[in-house]
Amino acid sequence: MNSKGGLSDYEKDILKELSTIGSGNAATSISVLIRKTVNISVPSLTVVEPKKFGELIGKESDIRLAIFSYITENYPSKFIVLLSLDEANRLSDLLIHQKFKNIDFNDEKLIIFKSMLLELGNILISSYINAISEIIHKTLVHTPPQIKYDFLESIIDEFSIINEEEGKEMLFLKNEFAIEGSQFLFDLLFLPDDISIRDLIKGV
Amino acid sequence: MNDSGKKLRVLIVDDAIFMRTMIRDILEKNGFEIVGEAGSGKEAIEKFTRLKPDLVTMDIVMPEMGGIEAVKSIIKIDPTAKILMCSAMGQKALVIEAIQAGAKDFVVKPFQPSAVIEAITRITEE
Repeated sequence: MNSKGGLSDYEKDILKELSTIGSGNAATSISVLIRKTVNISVPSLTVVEPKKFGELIGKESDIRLAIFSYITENYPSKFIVLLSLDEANRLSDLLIHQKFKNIDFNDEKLIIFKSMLLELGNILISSYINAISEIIHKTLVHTPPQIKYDFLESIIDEFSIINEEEGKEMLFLKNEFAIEGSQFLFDLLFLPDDISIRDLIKGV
Repeated sequence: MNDSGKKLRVLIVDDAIFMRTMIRDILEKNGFEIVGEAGSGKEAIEKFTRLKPDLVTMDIVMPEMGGIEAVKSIIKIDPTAKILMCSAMGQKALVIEAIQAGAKDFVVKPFQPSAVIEAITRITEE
C-alpha cells in the first residue's frame, strides 16, 4: 500500500475510527443543517499514494466541484471535498431551493449557491478535522474554504496531487449519505504536506 | 428585549453569506434587530465600533482576520461586549481560547435555532 510496507491492523483500526467519527460528525451536521434525518453507510477508506489517486477517482474528463481548505499549523495539510454538480444541486435544492445547470461563480445569481457550498464544505471539512484533532489530541485550524468547478484532471493538477513525492500517502474517503431515500455521494481527500498518515496517528 | 424594552441589536459576523442569512432569519423570527453583518474579523471590529450592537455572533474561520483575534480587539474596545461564538470548529482548545479571549459562549455550527436563542438569552441575562 505504501513504501513502508502497508499499515498494521492497529493503524488501520485508528483510521477506520477516525473516518467513522468524521462521517458521523458530518452526517449529524448535515442533518441539523437540512432538518431531516440523514443515514450514513460506513465510509470506504483507502490510504493511497497520490500518484495512484487518478486510478481511484474516475475519469479525468469528469467535472467536479472541489471545496478545499488548508491546515497551516501543527500538521500542514490539504483537505478537498469532491462532489458532482448533480449532488451539489440536490443538496442546494434541500437547503435553498436553487439549482443551476451551468456554473460560473462570477455570476451574481450564484452568490448564495456558492456560499452554501462553501459553508457545506466548511462544515464537512471541520467534521473530519475535529475528528482528527480528537484522536491526535492537537488543535487543528483550517483556512476559509475555497471552491473550484473544473475537470478532475485540472483539479488533480491544481493540488499537485500526482506530483507528490514517492512514499507520500493520502487518505481517500468515499462517503454515502441517505436523505429521505435519496443517496448522496461525496469524496474527501486528506493530504498531509510533511508527514505521512502513519506519522500522524503514531502514538495514538 | 433589552432593559429599556427595545429589541436587542445584533451584529452577525460570518464569512458565508448563506450562514449570515440563516442566523439573521433565526434571530429576526425571535424578536432581535439585526443592525449589521460582517464577513471578516476586520470588518467586525469596524462595524462593532460604529454600530455599538448589544450582541455579536462571531465565526472563527474567516479571511483577513479570524474570529478569536476579532474578539480580543472588540473586548479591548469594550470590555463589556457580549459575543457568542458560532463556529464549526468545536475543538475544546478553541472553545477555551475563545472564552479566554472574552467570548461569553460557544455554539457549534450547524446549530438548531433553539441552541442559538438559548445561548443568546443566557448571555444577555447575565
